[in-house]
Amino acid sequence: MINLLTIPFFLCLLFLQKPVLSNIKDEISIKMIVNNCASCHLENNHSDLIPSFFEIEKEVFIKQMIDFQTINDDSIMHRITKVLNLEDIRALADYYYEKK
Amino acid sequence: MKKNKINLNKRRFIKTLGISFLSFPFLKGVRANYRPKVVIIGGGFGGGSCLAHLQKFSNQFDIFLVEKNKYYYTCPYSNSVVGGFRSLKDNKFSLNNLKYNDVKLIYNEVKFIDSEKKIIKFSNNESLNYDWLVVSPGIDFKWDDIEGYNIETNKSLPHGWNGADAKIILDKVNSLEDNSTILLSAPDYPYRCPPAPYERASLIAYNLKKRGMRFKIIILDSKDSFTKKKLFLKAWNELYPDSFEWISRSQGGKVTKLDYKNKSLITETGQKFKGEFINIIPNQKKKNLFLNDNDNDWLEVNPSTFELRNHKSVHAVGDCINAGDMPKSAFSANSQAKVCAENLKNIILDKEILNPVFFNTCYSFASPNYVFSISSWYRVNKFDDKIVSLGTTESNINDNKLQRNVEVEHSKGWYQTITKEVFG
Ligand SMILES: Cc1cc2nc3c(=O)[nH]c(=O)nc-3n(C[C@H](O)[C@H](O)[C@H](O)COP(=O)(O)OP(=O)(O)OC[C@H]3O[C@@H](n4cnc5c(N)ncnc54)[C@H](O)[C@@H]3O)c2cc1C
Repeated sequence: MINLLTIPFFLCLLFLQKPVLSNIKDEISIKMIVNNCASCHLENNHSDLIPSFFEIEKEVFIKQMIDFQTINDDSIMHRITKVLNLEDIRALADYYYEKK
Repeated sequence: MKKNKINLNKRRFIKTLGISFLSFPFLKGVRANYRPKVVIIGGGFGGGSCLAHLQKFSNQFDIFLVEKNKYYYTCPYSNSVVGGFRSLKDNKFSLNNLKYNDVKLIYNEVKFIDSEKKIIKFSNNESLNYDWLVVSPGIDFKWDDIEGYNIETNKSLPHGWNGADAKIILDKVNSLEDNSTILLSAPDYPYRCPPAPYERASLIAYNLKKRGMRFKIIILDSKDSFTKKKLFLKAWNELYPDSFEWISRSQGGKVTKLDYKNKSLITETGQKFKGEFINIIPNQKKKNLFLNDNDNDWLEVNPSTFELRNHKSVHAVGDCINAGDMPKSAFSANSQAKVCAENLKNIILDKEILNPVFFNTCYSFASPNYVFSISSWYRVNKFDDKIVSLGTTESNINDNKLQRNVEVEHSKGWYQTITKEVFG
């Protein structure tokens, strides 16, 4: 059954200038986001058709992510990153590059 | 402090702690030295992805994977086999290549699960007990929905809604003569891989066009719309002009009867369609493995832990569950399996249940160089009872050839990654 209370909530999200994945509901572990990135970007044995971000520098990663987000070309990376905010991107960068 | 949590919310934190405390008395002293036994049933995309994540804890749990088949043929890329530009053997994988220490692989067919006694019975009468169970056995078909179409007729008229039968469908397409009519019956929701019937139709068209044939493909649909409809219609118009007819349910597209002898399909409104090749993709439901289960088409789960609502200590992922807004796809099964593995581990080790986030992308081929996609992030709603989409997005309808080709590479890259993760 559709819960009526959730409808305005999600409609609002759709029309927000910058929907933010982590603000949508309560806390979310960065690990959970990273697990989804790993569907295409595995740390080891990554595909030769998909670039690995484990080989680039942290600041390059952050810039790339912001570029994906701001260049509205409907590419898959734009569609993926547009739900993140700068805080999320920095948290992702910290996760990947502090782990190294 | 290292920041690995975002926007921690006290209410949920306390609540999840409560859940994990109540649900797990196991490691609290009494049986501290006991190694919990986790069994996974199904070595496909859901079960295999779950194993890939859980095996990292094989020093703390005993892990078993049960699979009935020695080889797995992926459904993703099976339509490319039908299109005649990929070999079936490129979609064939074996769990034997997995290099996990401490994971026991059992090739056997599960007959039923008795979740009260926590025991799995196999077809050869052997059995296996468990402390925690994860099931991802995939789908079954509703054989009674179309008169004249059943398991028997499916032998000569296979649906091909598994990876292995793609070659049979290819052979049938290859045997068609010039000016053939192909009838494809598309199922009602929910079913495995929503765009795949339309991808299949596209790649049958590609195969026939490549061989210089004239043809007509009529899609008889049990629905009034379908995913990526605008993108498919545009592709058909550009690549295979005047070759497609899509008949929606309200236009009388729902097939109710197969007249096998006369190679015809009859629809809800009594219209009769005749074709040289008929591909019925039947309505679907969960593959049921439980001794005592309800008649629901799909398993109902807690969307944060994937524990079944009516079978304690049993978790389920992939096509067999009602995943709310998430479509039934290998990508979704993989995303759910990671959450399931993470939170099952947290339950067993008495740690905090993490608040999940999911992602799915479905790529579709209209020809070998023409791919487009649909994707969405998903969260659990605030009542903790349903996975909800945060808004789906699609490839741009006006993308040029180069952009469609970039998506070919992304699709292949995703396939390489997921199959490496699941099958080693
Ligand atoms: C034509 C087609 C194209 C598709 N393309 C895509 C795509 O491009 N992208 C995408 O993301 N998804 C795609 N899919 C969907 C994808 O294949 C499924 O969503 C995915 O396989 C679901 O994974 P699962 O683990 O639930 O089931 P499965 O992958 O089917 O795995 C189930 C496993 O359980 C085993 N099993 C079943 N019963 C028993 C038993 N009794 N005992 C022991 N073992 C058992 C089976 O042998 C099997 O190995 C496509 C599907 C089709 C039909």
